[in-house]
This record gives sequence, C-alpha cells and structure tokens, in this order.
Amino acid sequence: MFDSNSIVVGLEVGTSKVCAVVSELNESGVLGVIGIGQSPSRGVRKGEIVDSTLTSEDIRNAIVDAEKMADAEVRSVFLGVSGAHVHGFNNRGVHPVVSADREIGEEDVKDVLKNAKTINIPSENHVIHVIRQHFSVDGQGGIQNPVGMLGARLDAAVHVVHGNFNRLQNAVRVVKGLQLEVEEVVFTGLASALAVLSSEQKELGTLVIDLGAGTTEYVVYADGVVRYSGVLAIGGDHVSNDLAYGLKVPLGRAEQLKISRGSAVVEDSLKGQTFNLPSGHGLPEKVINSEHLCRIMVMRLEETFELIHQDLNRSDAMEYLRGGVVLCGGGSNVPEIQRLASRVFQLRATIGIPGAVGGITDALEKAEFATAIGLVKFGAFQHRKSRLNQTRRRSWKSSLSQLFRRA
Amino acid sequence: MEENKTVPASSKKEPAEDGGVASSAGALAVPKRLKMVVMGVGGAGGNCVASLSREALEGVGLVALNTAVTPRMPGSASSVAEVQLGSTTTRGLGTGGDPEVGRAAAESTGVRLRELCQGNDIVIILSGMGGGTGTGAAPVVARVAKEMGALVLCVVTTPFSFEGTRRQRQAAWGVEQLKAVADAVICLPNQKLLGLAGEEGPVLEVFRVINEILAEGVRSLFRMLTKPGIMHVDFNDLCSVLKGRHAESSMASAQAGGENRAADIVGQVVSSPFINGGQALREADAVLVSFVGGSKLSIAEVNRVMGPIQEYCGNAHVFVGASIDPDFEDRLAVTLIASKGGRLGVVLDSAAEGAMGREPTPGGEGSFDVNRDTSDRSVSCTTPFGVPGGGAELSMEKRTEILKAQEEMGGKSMRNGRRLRQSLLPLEIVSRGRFEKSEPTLHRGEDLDVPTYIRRGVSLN
Repeated sequence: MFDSNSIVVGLEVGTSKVCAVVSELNESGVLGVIGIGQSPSRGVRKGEIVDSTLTSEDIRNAIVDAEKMADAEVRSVFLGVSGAHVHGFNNRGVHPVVSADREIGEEDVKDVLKNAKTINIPSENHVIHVIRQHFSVDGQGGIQNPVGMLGARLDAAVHVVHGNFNRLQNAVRVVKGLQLEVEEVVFTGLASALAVLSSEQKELGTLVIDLGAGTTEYVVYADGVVRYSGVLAIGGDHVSNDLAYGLKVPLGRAEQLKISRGSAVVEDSLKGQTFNLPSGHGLPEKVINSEHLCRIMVMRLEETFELIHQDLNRSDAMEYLRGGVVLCGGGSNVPEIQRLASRVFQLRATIGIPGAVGGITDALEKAEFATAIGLVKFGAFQHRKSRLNQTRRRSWKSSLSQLFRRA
Repeated sequence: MEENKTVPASSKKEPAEDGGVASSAGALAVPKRLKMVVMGVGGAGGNCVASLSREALEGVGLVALNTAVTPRMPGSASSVAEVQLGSTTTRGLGTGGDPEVGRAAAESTGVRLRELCQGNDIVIILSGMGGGTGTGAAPVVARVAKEMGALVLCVVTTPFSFEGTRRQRQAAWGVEQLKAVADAVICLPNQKLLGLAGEEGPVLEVFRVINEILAEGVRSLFRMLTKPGIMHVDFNDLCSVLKGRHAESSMASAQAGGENRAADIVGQVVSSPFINGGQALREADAVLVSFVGGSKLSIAEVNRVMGPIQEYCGNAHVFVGASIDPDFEDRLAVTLIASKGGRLGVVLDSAAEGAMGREPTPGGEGSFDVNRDTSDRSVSCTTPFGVPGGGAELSMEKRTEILKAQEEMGGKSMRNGRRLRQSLLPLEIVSRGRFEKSEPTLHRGEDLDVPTYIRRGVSLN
C-alpha cells in the first residue's frame, strides 16, 4: 500500500542553497530518506525571497534532482521559513473548568490552548506554531496531560512563533506556483532543532544555533519543550561581505577564502602570516594577511553569538541550558567554531549532526542538512499523527506540541 | 538660518540703542547665585530668544543681538533686551550673508558686549549658523563672554540642506570657530528638526516649532544646571560631554506625566529625529541624561528610564542627573544630550587649545589669563576670516599646528595620526556590499550589515 501520503518532502529555501529532501514513511512508521536535491539559491537574501523568478527556478531544479534520485513524484512539501520578521515568545492561557464534576476534558484543553493563542501580535502577523509547554491545574504546575484530572482552573503555557503574513506568503506562493502543495510552513530553527537534538538533550536544556548564510536561528529546548526561539538576520553572507570589504577582494573570492582559510579563533601562529592570492580574471595577485582574515571572521561570529547570548540572558533562557550548545548549518563548518561558542556562552558546544533518519544517511550527516532533515522529521510526525487520527476517526487538528515533546 | 521668519511689522519697534539694557541682562540672579544670560545672535538667535521669552525663566537675562534693525518679534516680551551690532559698520542693514561683516560688526560693538557679559557666570549663545551675523558674530560674542570670565555654552543650528553648500560650509566654519572659544557647543542641524516640525506645514509653523524646540532645550538646560538636585549635574559634567567631541551633538527633551511616564519618555526620546531611533545613542560616546521631576521623583523611575537608554548606548560614557522642581508635580522631564566621538574633532580642539595656551577650566575664572588668551585667540580664530567660503577646511596655520603637535607626540603620534585618517572614513560611506538592496539589519540602532570590525573600531594595519 504505497499511497502518496507516505512520501514526505522537506523543502528548505535558504539564502545559499535550496535543498529538497524526499523521504519515505513506511507502514511501521520508520522514516527513510530516498532522495536529495540541491541547487544554489540566487533569489534569497537574509532568509527572505527577493527575486521570486530566480527562486522559482532554483526550487524547481532542487525538486527535479530529488525526484530523479528518489524515483518518486513530489506533490506536497513541508516548507521551511525564516527571516528577521519571525519571532517567538511564551504565552499563557487560562480556562475555568465549568463541568459539574470538575473533571478536565479534551474540550477544556482545546479551549485553554485557544485562549493561549489569542495574543497580542501585530495584525499583519501570522502565527506559525503554537507549541504546548506544560499545563497547570489550580496552580499545580508541570502537568503534561491534564485530561481526566480534577480542578477548577486550567492554565496552559505555550510557545508561539509568528511572522509577517505577507512575507511568509511570498515563499508559499513561489512554491505553489510550481504546482506543489505546501502541507505546512515550519520555522527552520525548530526544524533544525528537531533534526540535531536527542531526547536527552531536549530534557537537559540545550541551545541550538543554526548558522545559515542569511540568517541565524536559535532555539532553546528544556524539559523536553521549546522554551525560546529567535532569528538574527546575520549569517555567513555577512562574514563574506566583511572579508570582501576588509581584505578588498571581490565577494566570490572572499567566500572562497572564508571556506579555505577561515577560522573562528585567531591562532597566535597566524600573527604576521601572509599568503598570496593568485591572480585570476585579470585581477592582480594579492598578498593577504591571514591574521586579518581570521580576525574579521572572529569579530563577526563572536558578535553573532554575543547577540544571541544577550537575548537569552534577557529572557532567563540561559538558566535552562545544562545540555550545552549545539551548532548546525553551514556556519558550523568553520574550524574551531565550537571553541568560540563555548567561550561566549561558557557552555560546552558541539556540532550537531542530523540523525535518527534511515536511508541515504552518509550524504546527509552534515550539519548544513539539519534544516531539511528536520523538515522531513516534522512532516513524518504530522503524517503519523494523521494516520493515527484517521484510524481513530478523529480530527487531527490538535496542537503540534506533542510532536515536539515526544521527538 | 538668518532672518528665518517673515515678521509682520510691529508698532512696538524699539530703537536698538546701546546702553541702558545691561542691567536687565546682567543683574538678575538665579537660585544658587548663578547668573545667567541667554544671547540670541542674528535673526535665528533673536527669534529663538523671543520664543524663549514667552515663558520666562526666573532670573535669566535675555538679549537679542542683530546687525539688522528688525522689528520686534511678535510675542517677544519686553524682557528681551535688543542690541544692535555694528551700528557704525552696517548701519542697521544686516550683513548680506557675509560672516566677515558680521564679525566686524561684533568687534566694533565689543565694549557693549563686555557690558552685557559682565558679572554673568554662564552665557548661553543661541544662533543660526550659515548666515552673516550668526556665523561671524557668534564666535566674537563667545570670545568676549569667555574673556569676561563666564562659562560659554552655544546652542546653534546649521542650515537646511536646501540652503546650499556655501551656507553649509560657512556654518561648519562658524561651528569650528565657536568650538575654539566656547566651553561647549551643541549643534543641531535644521534638516533634522524639519522631521519633527513636519515638512508640509506652513513655513511660519515650521520655524515656530524649531524655535520652540531650541527654547525648550535651553529651558531644560537651565533647569538642569540650576535646580537643586538629588543627583546634581553641573556645568563641568555638561562640558565633559560636549568638549572635544564632534560638532554634531544631539539633544532631545521629553516631558510626560501620568502612570506610564517613564515608558512615554523613553518612547519620545528614542523617536526624536535627533536620536534617530536610537542610532545617535549607539554612535554617541558621551551621553548626559538629566531628569527634572516633582518631589515624588523616585530612583526607581530614573532607573526605568535609564534601563532602556543604557541598552542603546552600551559603550558611551553616561552622566545622569536628577533634580526636583516642586512645580512639576507628577510630570517628569528628561533632557538628553548625546555627543558623537569625532576623533578629527579631538585633534582640532587640542590644537586650538594648544594655541590658546591652556584648556579653559570651567568655573575657574580666577586662573583665567585674559591677556594671553586674547592675543593667542586673535591668531586662532580671528585671522582666518578672509576665506569663509572655504570654511570647513583648516587654515594653513591650524594645519601646521596640528602637524607639529603630532610630530611632537612621538610614539603616540603614530596612533593619533592614524586616527586622524580613520576618522575621515565615515565621510566615504561604508558600502553595504551584498546587502546594498536588502533591508538593513538593525539591532538597537546599530546597522549589523556594516562589518563588525569597523563598528568596533578595530584597525587592521
């Protein structure tokens, strides 16, 4: 029984690359990746589409590649979204239990979540996710599932991720223009966290930083639920741009230098070291100071981490982090980036490898695929859930939160 | 910014005659025995003083100095003493936009200026730079006031951009002159004030708003300096914020009452066109914040306002002052002055101070060496008048002085020398490269698209 439902596709439209991952969800609920397609992204800046024609082409290329490899047809995708307009915050909802026997039912849970959703966000913004954190009944906190308990007052704490509706729609429209369905939009930070974190790390309290080309997303998981999330519109592009400006080389050259010679720590041995940048395309040969190169990079990366650190400090999210910091995304390929991160956050930092997915794993065990893998994982949860609901003949329209918790 | 209002002729026209006005300006005393006089130089200055006179400050003398005989401002109270500059040189006909004429007129009225400044502790000069009288005469007035032992604070505006480059250059030159002689210069560009006044409004209204902003600024400065404070801000604090900085300071004042006054004030300050959504605070390296509130003003309240402001000006040296004015009841007023650290400005100033022989110590009138100062100043600020057109540029003398000073500084001079060059960088705008067309990533007023090492001032050599 091979219905289209069992194909789950994650599509990440990133600033540097468009990546589509096709996976198959078999009947026993095991997920296996069967195809990947990639294409350099030309129409995206800082995580948002600035040229829909180019982006449309890039997405098509990536999808076609993935389809070829997977030998399957892609009809619908889970689309990753990001950008400076995406914000996350925690909210509470309260609901009085009115039934005569004071027993909390499914309806009460639904209502309290609805209350928690009615939040004060700008009218042009759209809620992307509402993730349950925990419930409390009559002030007794830390309850995971209140159904069947007795109480007079039900509180729910949720994490809400929202973004500008029009900007979210831009990405959705481009995908729909290619005759693809968008099953759901997913905040890429959450997707990356899903991909790289183990359930122990989620329990312990871990910060995931996805160092993308255009944006840097960060998500804090603690006690198994999302505690905090945010986006900075700074990324690897900024590092390249800084290098291009500081070393006075073209942007393409700067990009190459970043990859071949970059580091997140200025080693003492680099002091005064120089190397020759060979001439090409009529450009004169250039002597580049390795120390400057690294220093410019370090300043930028350090600042990025510091901004995240400040933000987390303001919200007390730092206190949850016993599991350390996990880095992913293309930026985590910078040598010694863990050292820099652990210096800034004063925590253990590691590179996150997306795991727990079967199929073509070798190709995918790279930090830059975290988002795409995470999207597939997210999609698989949704599919499993809807299957479950189909069998139970019940609406599957309950909150996503459980997925995140059990992930 | 001269003659910036079309004034309907008034029958109350008063002959601007020398003599008999000094008493009203000089003899009034304010609490704490500080004597203060506000002098409006030129058309813009006069208008501003007139608007200041509408809500008179207790014990502050108001003087309007102008070369042209203009009818008295409507609404200008009789407390404003009007003095004509250079009745013999211009014959009451104005300067025709030539600072040289303005300077000559002021010089010829030197004795009268001395009388006006006599016995005052603080002289505040209000003027519009760019025209003849303001640009030419204001530095002379400042010098005379300084010679008479007063502390001199100048609040000047620079021309609108539509007034052309010549006026802009003259203005820049005038500001340099003022900085060489005054203790502190606050320079507010009119173009930015326009944003506050609303470009579409009638001209009269725009100028009224601008004058009102300046007047409010002076009032709040006055309150800050004279009201008894829980945390007192004195003139020295003000000077250390303004001294040796880039010419362009930002000043914002805000008032609010009611429950949320702290939050209101932060909102008002940050949205002020000078603060530019916090960017000015981010760039500032010295910020002075002064609170005036009723007797119920609490530290917690000061804290509520300072918290967000501190976040904006992470690197700046922040001075906080708070004082009590029983009249304020539940209102709270905040005056914020932010100065940018222009390193070129520092070098220029130290050179100018070197020429003056010493840095004038605020409040230390006794040690003020008048003779030496005047003789040296005549070199540093009165001779280069021949070329006001090329105003912003350094005179040859200054240039050699700076170079000499750098040579003498030895080891340190290398760094200063580089700084001198570096400070010119902002003139050539840092290209945003790849992010040219994208929405800038702003974080607390800082443009994160600009390379970090540039924003943090790390030099690569």
